Amino acid sequence: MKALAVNIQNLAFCYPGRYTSIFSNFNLEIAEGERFGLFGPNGSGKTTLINLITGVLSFRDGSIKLLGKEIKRRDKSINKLFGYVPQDLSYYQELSPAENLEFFGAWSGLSAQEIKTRSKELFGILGLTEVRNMPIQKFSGGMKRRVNLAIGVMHNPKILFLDEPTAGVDVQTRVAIINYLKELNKNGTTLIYTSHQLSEAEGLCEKIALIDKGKIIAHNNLDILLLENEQEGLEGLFLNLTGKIRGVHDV
Amino acid sequence: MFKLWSTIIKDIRILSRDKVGIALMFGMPILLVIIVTTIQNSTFQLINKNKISLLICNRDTGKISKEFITAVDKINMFKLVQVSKDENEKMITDRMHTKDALLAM
Repeated sequence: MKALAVNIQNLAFCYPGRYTSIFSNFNLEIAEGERFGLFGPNGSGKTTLINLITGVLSFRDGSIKLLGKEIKRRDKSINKLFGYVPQDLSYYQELSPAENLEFFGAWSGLSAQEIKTRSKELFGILGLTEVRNMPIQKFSGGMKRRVNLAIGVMHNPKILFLDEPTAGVDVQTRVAIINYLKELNKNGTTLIYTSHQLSEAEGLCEKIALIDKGKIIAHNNLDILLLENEQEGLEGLFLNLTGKIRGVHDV
Repeated sequence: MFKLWSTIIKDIRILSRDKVGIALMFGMPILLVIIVTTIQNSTFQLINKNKISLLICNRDTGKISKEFITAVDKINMFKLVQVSKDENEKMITDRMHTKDALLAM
């Protein structure tokens, strides 16, 4: 049996000043080396869950372990275990990709030599070599996404969280990013992916969890869930499990 | 240490490319100093140029009274007008009206 990359037990979370809990007695296990997809309607709690796992948000009840290490303690070694590619582009756009990787690499604990070697490698893989010294603000949407991804994987994390990593990019860039993610997974990186691009998710994720209103409504291998629910694709499965039309109050 | 150094380098790079930011960071304090200095200087000149007339009737013949008048003169705020020691208070009051002096000693 594979070790657990993410182990969430009895998690309870509520945003400060709100009376209703986002998560209550929430449990989720993701095995090491999996390509895991986390899906759900808008406001279902996907991004909140990723923020809790990555330590962006703190929680009081329950436990979250990354590769067996309790995230509540927040020791520095935990930060090195995972990478996070957020939905919002998170870099300094006045700087070039090389300068951004230099900064984020230093904060990931890499040495100057490691940063140089890793940057060169990533620029080659993601097709950014020719523009590595240009300010990012002049880049196209696809190139910006690739820089965002490069920052997330700079320190060779064992777990990679991806929150809509291909939002707003063209087909070529999307295929390049997905292929790179699969390559990373082959080399042992656990991928935890969330997106509304369900066709893309079908090609990437082996196992999925559907969450709605802070609760897991389905969690299994994608093929098994499709068979169980007599659906041909993830979109049909999604609509079948979360309801075709959201109520007016939900909207 | 490397993290701190990379953060300093990053901020210098960002600032060096932000012309408006540099202008605001250095230009605004300089502009503020110039404005405040100009206002203070014009106030200072206004006080120095417009001296207050002060009538002095020195009936004391001692050394200390002369030193006191010299000290008042050194303040540079008063235009001293010596009044004869024979004049009485009524005459000095009249002189204040005619000379338009605000003060008399």
